[in-house]
Amino acid sequence: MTERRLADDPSIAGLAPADRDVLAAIWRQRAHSESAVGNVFGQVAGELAASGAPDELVTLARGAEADEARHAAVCEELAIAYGHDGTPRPERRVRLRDYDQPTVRLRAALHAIHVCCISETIATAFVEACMNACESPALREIHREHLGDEVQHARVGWAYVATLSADERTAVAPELPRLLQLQLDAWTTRIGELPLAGIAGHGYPPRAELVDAVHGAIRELVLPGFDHVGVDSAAARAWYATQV
Amino acid sequence: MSERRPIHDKLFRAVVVMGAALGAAACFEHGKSPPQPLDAKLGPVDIGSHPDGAPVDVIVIL
Repeated sequence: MTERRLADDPSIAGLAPADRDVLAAIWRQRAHSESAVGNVFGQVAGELAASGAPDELVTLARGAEADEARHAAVCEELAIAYGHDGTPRPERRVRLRDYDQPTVRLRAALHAIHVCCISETIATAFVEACMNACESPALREIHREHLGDEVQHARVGWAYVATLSADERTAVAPELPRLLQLQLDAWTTRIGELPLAGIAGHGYPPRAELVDAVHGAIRELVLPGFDHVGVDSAAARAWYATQV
Repeated sequence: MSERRPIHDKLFRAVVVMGAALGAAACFEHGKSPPQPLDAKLGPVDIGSHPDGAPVDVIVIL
């Protein structure tokens, strides 16, 4: 239990009450978001299966769905460790919107790219930045475990794209700027709600570091990732050039 | 590889390179061609595992 791991942590005991409240609220929101991402991984797993993806990839996506539910529980426990009263969280059920008249395989590919190749790949860099901002060994270990899971979740998308035909890779390339814009906007909006200077030692570095982690992930992981799996990144790179 | 800072080299290998290798290996084991052609239209098979979920354009862990 995360809560027990952190219950007697001196780094939490030494926090100002206002900072504890902020962190409790942040982890509460994270629990909400992780649960929603779990919903979407369930959707992606179903779509991969419907598209005829190899069973191993469907199994990995199902595993990610379960992982995200576990992450939500861990985030909830962290919120309690920082002082949240633990009142039950209303369940949030979401699904990614479909695209205009997509085919089975194109929909699966675009959703896997959206969730795994872009979002979860950005998440690896984000969680790594958070992990490096942890003072408590127990908190750092929680982030380390989370990072390991995010790496697995991101792989699902890159693995699926590697199974696509040349025509399918050509078909997804023009969609990348729109998906990247949605992701960049979502990440920067949420980061903008975090404390400007971060909360030293508690897994939240200053906002500027987190924004840099997101841009670094797009520039150094996601865009070259598309090149690596044979998806033309020219449109995505042209889009990114307008963002910096 | 020159566009990556060293801090991201490890992540790139772990996420992208390993992921792509996993997909290539799975495809090899799975067979030569996908059972669904590129132009197979969506049927009423599946609109996600949570069809009652609120549709969203994007979702992030944060």
